[in-house]
Amino acid sequence: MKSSPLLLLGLFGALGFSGCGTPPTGAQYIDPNGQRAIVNENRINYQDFNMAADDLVQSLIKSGAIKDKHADRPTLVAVSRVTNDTDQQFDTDQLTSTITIALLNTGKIQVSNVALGGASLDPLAQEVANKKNFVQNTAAPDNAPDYTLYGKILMDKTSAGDVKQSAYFFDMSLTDVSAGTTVWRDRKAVVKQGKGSSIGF
Amino acid sequence: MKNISLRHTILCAALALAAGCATVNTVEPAVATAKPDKVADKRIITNDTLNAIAYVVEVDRAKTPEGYPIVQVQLQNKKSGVKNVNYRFTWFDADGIALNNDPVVKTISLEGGETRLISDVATSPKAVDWKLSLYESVGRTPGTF
Repeated sequence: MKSSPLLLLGLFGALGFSGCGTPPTGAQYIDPNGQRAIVNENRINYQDFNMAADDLVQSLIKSGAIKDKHADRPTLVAVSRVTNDTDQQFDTDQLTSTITIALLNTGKIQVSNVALGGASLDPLAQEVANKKNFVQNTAAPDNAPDYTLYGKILMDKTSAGDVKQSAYFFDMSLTDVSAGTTVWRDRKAVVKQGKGSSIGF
Repeated sequence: MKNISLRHTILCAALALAAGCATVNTVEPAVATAKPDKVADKRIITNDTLNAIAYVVEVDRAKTPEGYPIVQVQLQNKKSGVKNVNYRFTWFDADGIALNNDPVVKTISLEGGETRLISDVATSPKAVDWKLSLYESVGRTPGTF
């Protein structure tokens, strides 16, 4: 009976060592899509891109905005540029590549790789429209995308006392090239709070 | 004894405040117009605390206009304090093979007593089954610093 408290202490010790809910003390592999990746309040982390891309693709598929445009081939979607309107430098491919992979996995859509250019809100849509206008009275080329995806990442920072808050907005819109209209648009917000330049898990 | 009890009560109240103790009142039609397709579910509970923070009230299913399956889960926080819960959906094809083997973990914040909906759309038309994994957040309680 006297060994009971010792046994309890031992059990608590073992739980502590097993790292139940505690961050690691040494380098180790983690689940890249899990909940133990480091979170910075003051910058966009890779998991923010993953979450935003996943939510935006889900919203796009749920909306049913992408229609089957051709009987003999899959609908072509071109991913246009994503504008970084934040004070941070990062490769916006972190967002677009995840979206492209998800779109390709649907099996109903093909993703087009077309050069960018022009000065409209969605430069790719503008370029495609110009090309179609140029070849007037002829059929649109087979590789012309049916839809273009355009995105923008915005940021809002604020603080109250020691607590800082960073909000990142991932805007995305889908343009039907033939009609020139936006057929889907959504915004995913990722908001993080922390003290100072705090990190978390 | 009385002193200890009073101190205990004050400490408990302070802790509840520090944890951002906020609850939610909601109003909805007494007779809902929507008729959701409810799914009978099987639950494996390994964490009773998490089951109280994110209790699964109901699971519904539907399909997008293009035939992609959607699952919607109603979660309720049965505790009085705000809590973060992490979750992810995995989709399986007719052979039981995972279609998104490395799904993204997402976070939802539930106020005390609040019921919220989480949903997921399969990004493959081959998806027939799904599994929802819920995780107790390893991060800080929201609103506490």
